[in-house]
Amino acid sequence: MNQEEARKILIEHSRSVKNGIFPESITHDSKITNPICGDHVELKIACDQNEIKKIGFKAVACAICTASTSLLCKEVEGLTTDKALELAGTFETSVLEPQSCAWPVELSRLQCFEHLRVNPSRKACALLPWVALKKAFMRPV
Amino acid sequence: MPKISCPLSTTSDPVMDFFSKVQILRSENRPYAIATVIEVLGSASARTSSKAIFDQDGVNLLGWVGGGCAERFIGEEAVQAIREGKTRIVLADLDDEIFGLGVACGGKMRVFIDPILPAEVMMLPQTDQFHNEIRSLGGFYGWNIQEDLKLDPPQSIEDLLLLMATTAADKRDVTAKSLREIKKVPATFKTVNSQPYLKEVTIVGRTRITEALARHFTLLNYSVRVVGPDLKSENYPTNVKCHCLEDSYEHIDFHKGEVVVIAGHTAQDPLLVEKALNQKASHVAMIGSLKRSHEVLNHLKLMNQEVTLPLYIPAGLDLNAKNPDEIALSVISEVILEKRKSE
Repeated sequence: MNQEEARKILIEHSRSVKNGIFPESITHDSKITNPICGDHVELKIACDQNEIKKIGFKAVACAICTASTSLLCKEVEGLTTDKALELAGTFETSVLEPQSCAWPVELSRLQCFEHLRVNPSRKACALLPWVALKKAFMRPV
Repeated sequence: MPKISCPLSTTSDPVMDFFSKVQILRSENRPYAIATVIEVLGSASARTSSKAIFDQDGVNLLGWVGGGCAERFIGEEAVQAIREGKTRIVLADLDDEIFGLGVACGGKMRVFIDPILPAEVMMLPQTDQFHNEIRSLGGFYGWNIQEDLKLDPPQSIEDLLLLMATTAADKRDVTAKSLREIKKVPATFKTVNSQPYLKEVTIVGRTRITEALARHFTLLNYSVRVVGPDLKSENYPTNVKCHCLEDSYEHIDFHKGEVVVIAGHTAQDPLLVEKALNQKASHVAMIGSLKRSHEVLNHLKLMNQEVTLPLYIPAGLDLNAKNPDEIALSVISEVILEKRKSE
């Protein structure tokens, strides 16, 4: 995926209309803030027997963080909590790897973040919502 | 009515604070980096000349080069600069919200990051006889001198200087051979010192290097003459004769048998080298690059020739010298070695 294609996807998701829309009954939630830049992410999740039925978010954050949150929600909805956490681990590892490493096939829908490998200071922006996801599943509401 | 203490300090001076902090970090021998904004295009959070000091973890210790994402980015770059020990110029993109830093100030900032590493540790012998000289020279070189009881103390100041040169070369994994050999100057040097070395030196120039050279030759009890424009005698040891040039260098004459070091970095240098050789100096050294050495060889019509003159270009030994005093050490070490070979 070239940089312009990545940019288009990230801009689209940074302006997601789903920002601020939450499911009605939630089983897990979390809030996280990066104190250095002020990026703030909230996740509210409705699980049923370990399957993520619905997930909503609110992100008051930079474009990358907001886009990452929106894409996270799109990816994990319908997954089991274990699969979602596994995806979070793979995503974190991949973003932090050097440019020379191939982007994993299982993260092809998140390949727009591959371009962040050249800009270490934006990696924290992309990873913040995935940390929020892990935090949400530490204990139910 | 409770008293409200004034939040403004009447003695606060940001420039003094900045350099005081640098002094404290230096005395603690901690690595740090100074980030300076050198260019701003469009809108940015800092201005040109804004500075900040970052520690080895990228934490801002003092100063301002922007907030939030800009500071974090520059801090991360500072960490890399310290790790590599190399300066870098980075572009903080404060405009592109996707692939820039994520803040939409609407501009870009170019920042120069200069890592300052702890003083190099150099192991030298314990010696009461030359304790003061070691401490003083180590200070000029910026070294952290540690005493090694297993090393034999030097017997003379000349031996001390040679020891310090080889210690630096070993530490930096360089050869300590003559730079004219290392830099592959296009001539074959078979120096025949037809003149015995006198303990006299003329140093031509007016830079920190000429001051450092004068200090070093004074240590060896040479009669030192410095020739150059705008010389300030207070920058030289008291016994040094400072000859302030009013106009061109063509009126300088050299003495037979003396050491000559051309450190002027001017267009006159090849002419001065020629004159010193013609006037039978025992050792003619010119501080400069390989390209400047080519200029001298071309001027003397010695390119790719066998050279039997006491010509040392570029001057000095390969120490990977990092400051004017280390350059002086490199040059004087070469003089000592060549003088000993000729005796």
